Amino acid sequence: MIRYILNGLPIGAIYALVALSYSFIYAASGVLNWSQGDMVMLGAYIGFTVYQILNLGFVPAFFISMLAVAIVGIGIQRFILRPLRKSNAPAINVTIATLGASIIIRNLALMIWGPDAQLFPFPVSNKPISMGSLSITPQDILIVLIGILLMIIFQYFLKKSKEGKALRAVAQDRYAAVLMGIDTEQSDRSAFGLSAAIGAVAGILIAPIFFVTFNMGAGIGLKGFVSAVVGGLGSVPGSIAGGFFIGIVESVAGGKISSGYRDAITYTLLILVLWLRPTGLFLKKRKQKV
Amino acid sequence: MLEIKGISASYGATEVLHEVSLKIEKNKITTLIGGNGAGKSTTLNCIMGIVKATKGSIILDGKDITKLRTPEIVKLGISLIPEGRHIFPNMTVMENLEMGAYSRKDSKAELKNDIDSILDFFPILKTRYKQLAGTMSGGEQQMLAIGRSLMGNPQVILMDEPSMGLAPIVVEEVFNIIDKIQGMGKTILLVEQNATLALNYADYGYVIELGNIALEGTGKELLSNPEVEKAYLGL
Ligand SMILES: Nc1ncnc2c1ncn2[C@@H]1O[C@H](COP(=O)(O)OP(=O)(O)OP(=O)(O)O)[C@@H](O)[C@H]1O
Ligand SMILES: [Mg+2]
Repeated sequence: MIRYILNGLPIGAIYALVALSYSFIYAASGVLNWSQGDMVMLGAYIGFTVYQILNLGFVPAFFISMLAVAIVGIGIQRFILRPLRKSNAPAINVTIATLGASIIIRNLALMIWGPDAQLFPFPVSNKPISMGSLSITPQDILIVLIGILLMIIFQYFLKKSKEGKALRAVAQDRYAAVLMGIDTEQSDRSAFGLSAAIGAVAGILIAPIFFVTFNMGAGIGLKGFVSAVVGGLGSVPGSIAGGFFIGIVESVAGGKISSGYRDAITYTLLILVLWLRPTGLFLKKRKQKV
Repeated sequence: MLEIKGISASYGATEVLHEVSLKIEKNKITTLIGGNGAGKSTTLNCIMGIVKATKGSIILDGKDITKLRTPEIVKLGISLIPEGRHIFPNMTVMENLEMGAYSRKDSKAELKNDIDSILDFFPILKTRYKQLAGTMSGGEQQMLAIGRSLMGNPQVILMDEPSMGLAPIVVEEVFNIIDKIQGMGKTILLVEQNATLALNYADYGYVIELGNIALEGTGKELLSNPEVEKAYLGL
């Protein structure tokens, strides 16, 4: 059992980041952005283009990928969200428009990187380290550590920095935030840029364990979204917990039952949560946002 | 001085303000009274640039601010304490006060100093500065909303029904505070349904009905006006 829990941590950390990106953008801008999964894909491709093709190094790959994908996210805010907000479009229209953006991004990725699936290993050993009956690879440890580090930095940004507090204010009460003099155009931009950058990191982290393809965003995006809903959509800590939870459930289900039932179990869980605890598993009664 | 000159405003195709004009004198309390749906909140949201005026102009100390965006209007020193308070529920009292100072460029030390003096001004907040604002009582939340507005160091404060939903003793406390704030040299536009109380404190008042200014006069004049008495003061 402990073995499967341990094995679920790396993918759990990745789900947690994707869930966090969905929830944060949703809380801070009110938009469910369906292109979040494609930010993960772009992050993976850009990161490893920088790392393996341009040979600029592993650490720079993170930063360049985050920056490039953040610019894509800001582009979506600028060219999709902003015009639709100006014309007072209902939220559902914005969400559908992000779905359109998602398809366009996938097709561009297909044109740039081609149809073949790729695996990008990390520059660390993939040989398991054993501790009794348990074993974990240095690569997995690195994935979990980088994921957790980013979550801590992000949480710190939200709680301590002026801009982070402003984003929380917008998430809690957009009208009141405007009255404080917060520019919601700017906060939308930050929400889209930051969420995209978080997605990019998830992409680099998933690349060594999951095939990178132009349409991988659909799968990882959906898993991240499910994690967010299970943990509490709109809540950053809830979504992080949701991501680890789904990652571990999948690993345990795959190991103890059968990997063929893994997705069925995940989605059954989603339906149960929507039915029995629609605010998410980990939230207190009072709806707690970022 | 803040001058509203013949502004109109609409929601969709429905015009709800029809060429409303108000003069809000410096360092005075001006009140705007009227019944439900008369257009009081809309007037305040127009001043803040949240609802766009379709006609007329809003002039602050000779500067036309009608077309400015809300963040710029806040920077010029106008603050709205909204109807229903709208404190940030999952932030502490302290963080709410910090948000009030969002548009200020002053140093951390200066802001800290101002937070301390706000906490001295509102003893009720002082003991609770770490509490999540959403868990406080209505009266406490109203004090916080006022304190948060003061943190922005505004010259003009617009208050939308600060007495709404509060026990009479708390209402009295709120009005005492409004009085003190005027004493600090602030200019106040007070929107109220509690007309008697508002007119008692106000230097000048306007009555709005269905989006039109129906009457105006000093607080005393309006209090003794038979029409006002019949419509807003009588029981
Ligand atoms: N967001 C909105 N969308 C559409 N109509 C609105 C909106 N806000 C207000 N109205 C309408 O505009 C008119 C004026 O409303 P407003 O809120 O300004 O009145 P008020 O004087 O503040 O009333 P109250 O004392 O109840 O707060 C009303 O007819 C109201 O129904
Ligand atoms: Mg109102």
